[in-house]
Amino acid sequence: MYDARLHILPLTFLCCVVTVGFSPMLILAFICGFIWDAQNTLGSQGGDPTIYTAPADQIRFGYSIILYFVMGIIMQGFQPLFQKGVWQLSAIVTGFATFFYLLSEYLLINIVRGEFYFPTRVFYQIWLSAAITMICSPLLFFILFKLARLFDHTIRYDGLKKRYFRFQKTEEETTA
Amino acid sequence: MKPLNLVTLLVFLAATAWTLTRSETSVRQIQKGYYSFISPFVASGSAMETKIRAFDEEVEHSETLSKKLKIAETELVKLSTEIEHLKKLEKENVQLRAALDFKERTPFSVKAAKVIRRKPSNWWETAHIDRGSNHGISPMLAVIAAEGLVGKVDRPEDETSTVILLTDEACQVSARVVGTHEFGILSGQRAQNGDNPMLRLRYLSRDSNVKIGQKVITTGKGELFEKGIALGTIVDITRGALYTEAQVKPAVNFADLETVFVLIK
Repeated sequence: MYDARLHILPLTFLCCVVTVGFSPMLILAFICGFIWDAQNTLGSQGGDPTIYTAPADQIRFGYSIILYFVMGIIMQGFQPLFQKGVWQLSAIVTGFATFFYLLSEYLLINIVRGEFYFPTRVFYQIWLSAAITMICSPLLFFILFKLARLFDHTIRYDGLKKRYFRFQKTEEETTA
Repeated sequence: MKPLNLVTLLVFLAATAWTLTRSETSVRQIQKGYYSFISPFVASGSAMETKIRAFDEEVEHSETLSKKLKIAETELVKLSTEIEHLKKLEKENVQLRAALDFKERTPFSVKAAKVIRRKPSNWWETAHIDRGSNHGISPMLAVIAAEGLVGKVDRPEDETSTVILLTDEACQVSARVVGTHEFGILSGQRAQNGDNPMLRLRYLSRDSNVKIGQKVITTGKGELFEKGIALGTIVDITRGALYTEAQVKPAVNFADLETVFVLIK
């Protein structure tokens, strides 16, 4: 399947940032980007420079932080709808954000190393990965809501809000 | 913007700038810390994967297995004979070298390792092996399989190491076409991460006489790889204005990589 895969870290990040404020989003973007780069950054080519005259350049350590930040901004843009209970749209945006992330990463490699090369299989790989990630996002949202309920955190999703208001209303009625 | 958000944004920007300006040495230190933290999880994940694979293999049809066994037995007899023959040749070679007073090649030992994780990232062709600095592995060491060159060690941790595979664009090897005096630089290609990745042999001379089907081996130049390790076979040739470029099919089957050997200098 064109080497497509589920991107657990970006998925977790995207689903989490839509449920938190701007400051926690920044912190999450930094942590996730840092972890991603710590896991994947490669060292220099090495060897005799007179033989290896044109080593492949690497993207700077920390570039993922910026990409995660942009993805976080995209997700936060849809937060008002999410808070109104339209989580489906956020799930779709998760796919788009993943697509943007993978595409940007690939284009960055092209820019840094030169020789623009974009075969069809890369496009398939990117959009299939984005689709897989998008399909899995409702599960992540479900887990997040369960965790929020467990730790008494308010996501301000209408589903939870309604119950809260209903509880308040009942209390008011009882007092009256 | 709320004051708290503004402060967080400033701190975020400062932290990002700090991260982007790290030197390679500090990046390596960060990665070392990160991998020593996650290595127990990677090891347990790998153990689980091995169990699943073993179960999968058991499910394989018994008839196919018995056929394979018969073939393997025949191969074993054949190989034993070949080994005996090679031992004789080795002895003869040693005697001849001594007689001609040749300098001995740099001695190196081989450390067997198991591939525990394949391609954890999207665009980088890497693998993790279960041998690290505790086993004498250091950066830039050549990693080989029975068929030929696999890649080189990029980052050794205590118990595991990251190997950058030959199919990655960043793994360059000084190569020679067998039967000619043609030298070039062999490397992986961008986005060639399917089941049949092709390698790219660049900087061959414009009027080179390389042909499809010729073997490509390491030259030993460039301080990274030993001389004479098999790299692949030429499958296509493109003649350019300045250089000739060839597509090379790797000698190693990267889709089925399980055991590798690290050449320790």
